[in-house]
Amino acid sequence: MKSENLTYREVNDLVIATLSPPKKYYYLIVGFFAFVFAAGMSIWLYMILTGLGVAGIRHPVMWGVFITNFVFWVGIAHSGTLISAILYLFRAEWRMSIYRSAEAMTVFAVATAGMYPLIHLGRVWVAYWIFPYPNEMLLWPNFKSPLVMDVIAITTYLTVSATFFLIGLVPDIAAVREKATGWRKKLYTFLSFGWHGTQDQWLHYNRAYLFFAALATPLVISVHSVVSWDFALSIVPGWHSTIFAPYFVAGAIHSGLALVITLLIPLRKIFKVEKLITINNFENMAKVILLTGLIVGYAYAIEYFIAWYSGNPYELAIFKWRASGDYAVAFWIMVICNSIVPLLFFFKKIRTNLAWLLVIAILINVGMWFERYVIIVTSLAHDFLPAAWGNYAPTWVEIGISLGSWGFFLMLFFLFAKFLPSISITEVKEIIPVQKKKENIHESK
Amino acid sequence: MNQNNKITAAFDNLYEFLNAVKYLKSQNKKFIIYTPIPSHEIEELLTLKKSKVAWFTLIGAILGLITGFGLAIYTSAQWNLILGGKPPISLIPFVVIGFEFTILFGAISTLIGLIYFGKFPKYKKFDGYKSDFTVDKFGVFIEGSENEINNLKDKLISFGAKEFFYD
Repeated sequence: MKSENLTYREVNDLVIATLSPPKKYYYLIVGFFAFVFAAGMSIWLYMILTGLGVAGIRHPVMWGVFITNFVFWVGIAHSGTLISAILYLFRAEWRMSIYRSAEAMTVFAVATAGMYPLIHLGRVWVAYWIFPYPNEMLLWPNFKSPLVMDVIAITTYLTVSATFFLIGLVPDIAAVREKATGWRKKLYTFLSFGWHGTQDQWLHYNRAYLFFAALATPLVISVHSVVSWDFALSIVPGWHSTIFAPYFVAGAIHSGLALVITLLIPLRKIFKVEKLITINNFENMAKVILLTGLIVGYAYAIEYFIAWYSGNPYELAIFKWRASGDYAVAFWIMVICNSIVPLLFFFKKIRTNLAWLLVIAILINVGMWFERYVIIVTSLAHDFLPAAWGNYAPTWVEIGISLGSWGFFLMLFFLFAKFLPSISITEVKEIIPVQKKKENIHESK
Repeated sequence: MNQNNKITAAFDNLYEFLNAVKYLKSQNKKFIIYTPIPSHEIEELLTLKKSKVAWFTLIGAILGLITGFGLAIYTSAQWNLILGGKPPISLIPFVVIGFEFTILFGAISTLIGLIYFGKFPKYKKFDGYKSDFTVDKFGVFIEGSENEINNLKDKLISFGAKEFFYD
């Protein structure tokens, strides 16, 4: 049964049922993720008290797993805005039932990403020095640095995506308000901001939503472009490349959609919303992944071509070393998971099979993490001077903090799924065709 | 006037509802509409002017552009140092700052515009509102004399109104 065959009331009831008081295993799951997060934070505290030396980053590899995680999580955040804003402007109806979860994932992923530059700073208590405000030290940020551009881009992205997410929730919260009781009723009444669905409210709301989508669309493209320039604006071999911006944006959407699939397959099963999130939704995401996988694969290949064709020995050396040196395993995981495995989505049987979808989506996530790791670490480990070469491996501190950030992200996602509608009630209703009952249509006089 | 001078009619079907609204409009009646989904047909039918939220977006975006460039230029002028081989005031890298501020201010001002024009938050009781109007019913609230309301009620039934509520 497709969502088109449901009534408005059935959609309402199905989504609101996902917010019913949770069972014991829900608390166990959320408690587990909260514990993992708390453990990660404790390890960060240990690092603050002991010093950055307990992490594996040291000369010449001064960017390690922390920055890898930062780029990975920013990338994850891209699919939400792709689905909620870009596909909204394209009027893609298949986005309706999945965009809310993807948007929530975006907000939580940007928040997770935002922690890493702070963790990487070491002396986190002076993080405010990077903000542009008049101060007695006469210390202004250098706006010509891509790192400062990145701070501005990520802050803007977090603000805009969180606002877009909350605005989209308002009519749905009003629908939940009408069914809620007790303290939940008070909470949802407050959060609905007095939404009643009058013609005036819809008029201004729709206009504002359109403009949010129009602003978020170039923003999402710009954010990962700016992240890519953290690398591309330097002269380090393997980083100094003009293709980095589109290559990073495609990779970001690739990983983000894979995580949406990874989270939505169990979510639809747990919440019994198979009628709303259908195989068609997954198939369409798989098709986009196929496209981004081809773009990413093309970018991998063209990097080698440019390294050879440019005649730059440093560039060629780093690319040869990536495929055959100390990080070759990571490199081949990246190539296989990101550009070869997704080709399986050419087969309809595979892209419509949930087990295959889940396995491939997880492999893409692994591959995309390794992509960031390979780009960051290999170029720093082997730059121009052989005498300055050195390898890097993450320590237990970095691994612990990384796992902690997964705990943070999944804890937020599970809390969201139980307290806010994870499927857009209003937009799913919009795609249900209204029956024109000819016998009831009257001509006004 | 007795209690019958305010009435809310609830419809199950959007097109039946549209016909009723069309009729009420032709009778120059004042009414409030409640719908569970947005409808372009209603906007067209009521010949509503486009929301002015867009002006907030535009003004915010322009202010953001000026602020972004202004901040980057002003702070660089304070340093007045050549960094990365670029002159202190380098407009090309500042395009990124200008762009991000354009989006940030544009989005925040759109939100302010929505709050201002939509009159949010508004927790008072809405005339004739029923909880089903955010679920699956299309509602229209009308005021009038007892006779007018009684006549309208029959007409609205003929259009397909399923339920009536008196305020």
